[in-house]
Amino acid sequence: MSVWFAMGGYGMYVWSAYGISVIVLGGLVCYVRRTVQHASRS
Amino acid sequence: MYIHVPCAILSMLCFATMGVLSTILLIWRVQLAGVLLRGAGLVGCLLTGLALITGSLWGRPMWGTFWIWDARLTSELILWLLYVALLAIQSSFQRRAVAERAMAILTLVGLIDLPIIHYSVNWWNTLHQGSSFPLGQKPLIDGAMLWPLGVMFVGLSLLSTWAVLQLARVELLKR
Repeated sequence: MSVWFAMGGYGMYVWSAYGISVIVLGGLVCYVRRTVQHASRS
Repeated sequence: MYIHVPCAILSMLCFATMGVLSTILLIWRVQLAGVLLRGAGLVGCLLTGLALITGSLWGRPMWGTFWIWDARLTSELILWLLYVALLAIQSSFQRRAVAERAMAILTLVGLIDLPIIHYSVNWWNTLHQGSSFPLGQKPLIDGAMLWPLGVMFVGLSLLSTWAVLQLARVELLKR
């Protein structure tokens, strides 16, 4: 398992990239959903 | 690669779509084009930023540096700055129609960046690798990597389209 996480020695870069992507894309989804909800209510 | 490449391609596709919407807005004055332009600007900005960040994280182990002022990276950074300028214009004008017209004009001016980004690896001596999908030839990427790349591209395309349409829905609800 630790070998898989290490990603051939590039684990730090790979998981950082995936983490930032999840935050950015997840943030976009949350922002869009919240904005639609607010606009629908008002 | 599975995030950087689809994001980079989509960042350019998004701007090209905004170029088409800008043309429709300026020539035929279709208001829906302006509505879509607003949402596409935010989504495109995020995609371009993600492409730059993931590209830097890929570049560090591969090239030994997070950033280099080569043609591809610099022109993609300029694209991101164009998106930021479009977002700034959105909230800079009191009248919505004026803001949308200004956004459309800036988008059309910025379209020149797209062929520069695409052909930069051919025109200049760049650290960034050349195209892996040469026209009229087999892709240079192995099939085992091509399929996941395709799946990620389709997934991100659908997510981006959803986000743009939902933001357009918000804009229409406000009006």
